[in-house]
Amino acid sequence: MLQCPKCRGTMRTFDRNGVHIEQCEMCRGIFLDYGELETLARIESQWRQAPPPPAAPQVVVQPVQPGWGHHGHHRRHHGPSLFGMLFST
Amino acid sequence: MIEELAALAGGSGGAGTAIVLYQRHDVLVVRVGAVVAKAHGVGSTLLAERASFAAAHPELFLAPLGVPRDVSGRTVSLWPAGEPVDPSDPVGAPWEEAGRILAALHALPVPSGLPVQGAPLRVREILSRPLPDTPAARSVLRAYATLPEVLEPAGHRCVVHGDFHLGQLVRHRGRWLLIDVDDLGLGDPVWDLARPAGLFAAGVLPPDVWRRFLSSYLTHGGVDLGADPWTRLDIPAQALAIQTAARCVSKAVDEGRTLNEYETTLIDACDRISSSRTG
Repeated sequence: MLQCPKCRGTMRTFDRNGVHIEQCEMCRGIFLDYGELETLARIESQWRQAPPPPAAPQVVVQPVQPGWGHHGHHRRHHGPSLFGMLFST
Repeated sequence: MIEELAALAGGSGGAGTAIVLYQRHDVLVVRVGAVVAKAHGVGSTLLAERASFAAAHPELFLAPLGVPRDVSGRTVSLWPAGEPVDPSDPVGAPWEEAGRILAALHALPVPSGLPVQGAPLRVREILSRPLPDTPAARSVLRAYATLPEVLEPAGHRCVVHGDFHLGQLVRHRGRWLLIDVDDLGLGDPVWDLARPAGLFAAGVLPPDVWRRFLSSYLTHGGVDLGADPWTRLDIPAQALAIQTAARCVSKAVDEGRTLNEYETTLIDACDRISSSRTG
């Protein structure tokens, strides 16, 4: 198993359009091997040119985290008790 | 001092009862009607230069009423009263506006005469104050001990607010503006993003709020942070998460209460900061 270079989470391999991509299960960071970005870009531009274009893959931009970041659920309720941290020096 | 500030605000057009808006350590802020008077901390320096920068940029800063003056040995400044962000709804706060305003501030040409910004100094000042001897305080101090020296790095110079958080935004005549010029100066702009960044990484600020703020900053011409913003944000974000945690610990003790769930989350983040370096 590959370890995420950023947060040490486990990297899961999956196949996207014939390109193997490693994605971290924790921070969702993506690791591409040499040449894979170019391959993806090429496939994307082929899609753009080919009418009618098939549905593009949904890319969800997750905010990345530093290594010490909080993984898992963030607090659900954000009421007045958050006040002090956000509103004073 | 309260009476002196109230008299000054009253003499500058403020009408009504004097209300103390803020009183902590040696800073005092009093509002009388539409006018706010602030007695700055004893350590405040170059207030005239900082306030004059705010006066020159009324599109970004609330403009002061006149120039700072000396009152009984303290520097006092006068401001129009603005409407603060609703503290009961941090998610509904104008995060996009905050990102836009900071981006515009960081894009200004660097003027002469402004001092260095105050954020890294503030971290050291707050962490040098004694903390109560509690497990949470020990977590904070342990994390601070692992933090690299938070000196201003060379380069990345622009005008920065130096102490940005939601309490530094007010609405005045329909537009959101920055207030509090005490830490305004030249420095690395990432410090202005570091408080929300640190609270997001700590698990306190929802990811979506952080994304709204950062996206707005970047799309409005904020400083380019590269492919991974954390390369530059990480240490300032850790520093401000630790600083905020220290404030929470002493505040909880002052108020005679235990830490709330957000504060506990922040203390956990301090432990993660420590273990990320000590292994």
